[in-house]
Amino acid sequence: MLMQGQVAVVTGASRGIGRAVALELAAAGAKVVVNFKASEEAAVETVNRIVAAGGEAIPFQADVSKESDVKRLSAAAMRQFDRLDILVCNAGIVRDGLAAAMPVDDWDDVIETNLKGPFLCIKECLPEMMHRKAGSIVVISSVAAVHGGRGHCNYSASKGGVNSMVKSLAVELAPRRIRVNAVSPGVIVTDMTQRIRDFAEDEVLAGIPLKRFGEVEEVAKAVRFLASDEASYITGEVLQVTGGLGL
Amino acid sequence: MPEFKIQNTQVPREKLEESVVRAVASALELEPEEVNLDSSLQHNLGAESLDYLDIAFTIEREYKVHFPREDLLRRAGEHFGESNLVEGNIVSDLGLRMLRAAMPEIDPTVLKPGLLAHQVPGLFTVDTFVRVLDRLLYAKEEMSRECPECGGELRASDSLPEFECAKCGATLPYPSGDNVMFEELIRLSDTGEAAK
Repeated sequence: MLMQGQVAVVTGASRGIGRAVALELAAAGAKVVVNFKASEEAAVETVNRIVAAGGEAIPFQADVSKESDVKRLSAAAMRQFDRLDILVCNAGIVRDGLAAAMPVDDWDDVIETNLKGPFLCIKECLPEMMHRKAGSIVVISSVAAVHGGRGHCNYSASKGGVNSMVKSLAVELAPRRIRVNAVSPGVIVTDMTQRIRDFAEDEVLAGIPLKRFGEVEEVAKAVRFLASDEASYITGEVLQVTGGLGL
Repeated sequence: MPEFKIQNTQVPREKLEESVVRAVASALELEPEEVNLDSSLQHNLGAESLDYLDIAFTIEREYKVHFPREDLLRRAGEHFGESNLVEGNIVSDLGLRMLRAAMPEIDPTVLKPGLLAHQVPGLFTVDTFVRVLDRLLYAKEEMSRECPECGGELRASDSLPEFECAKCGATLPYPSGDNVMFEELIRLSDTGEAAK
């Protein structure tokens, strides 16, 4: 299998895109650390699905915005599997609101989780990846990083930051043969996009050339590709998985 | 200027040197034979800042220690008063004396007036890593083996730089390299007096 013997950490893997990524990487042979912040039951369900399919995984609670938690997360991966090959930074939150009325805490929370979170996770994984002179990091960005939208300036800023961070890190870590990429989903069928699909379905679909919303598995396959050696000459890329949204 | 109190780990010096040379060679993609203890990492071996981290990570994995990450001179400046150690990015006489004492492996003639603060990491030699590793291992050996939570016996983790309590399962990280090396500087008591 493509990722046989490799170990992956997937943050925010209890549901949605994160769960799909964890299942996809496990199906490719990777052992997976299924990170969750609060939804332990859902994370265990992700793990159970992997194990039922013959894979190997553990659930691990950690808030990616907290350095001490992230240290525990990387330590858990090392303790359990003694190596770390793939990191997928998926954990993210939304706190939408018009800027004029947005509580500063909502700004801070989104930046802390969506931008600082991946930084912390990457930082903690680097000792192992640099030691091995190999590794693949994929950060989940968003189409919102480059396309303006009302009511989510905090989210857009966090994802724009992710895109910039990915490019910088790709250059910085290339000498150690660590690749860093992002996947930028459009409107995917998840809890996070429920509101936009409920209230503006026709309007949004009108802007998507493929005329449908994406499925989490479609994002997961893109992540698997970038995380794998099949993408061995790709780094610093932001792969759009948007159905053509914004073209 | 007093020398540091000699505190050596029980691990043989030869083993430490061999490990560091191997780590340096691996990071810089050299043959171990090309790496000498007195080689300047930057000037002789072409190391860059990322290589320093790479070397540290490799040694950390083998010996389960925490190498320093902070800029020691900056932290010392916060303690002793920045202007006492670095003046306009130039290392002061006091700063030079501290460096000579703290890094005895470096040719003292290069620690001369006019040295810029950002040039200090460029002075590190292979032996610098050996000395730091020795000190970190000693600090680890000096740690109490009694669990602060339950009084149980602490045992070294197989995979992580920490002790695990055999009784309650609590974990206790090994000493921070930043703290260990900073405490070394603090030991320079006459320097501390001078800074006052």
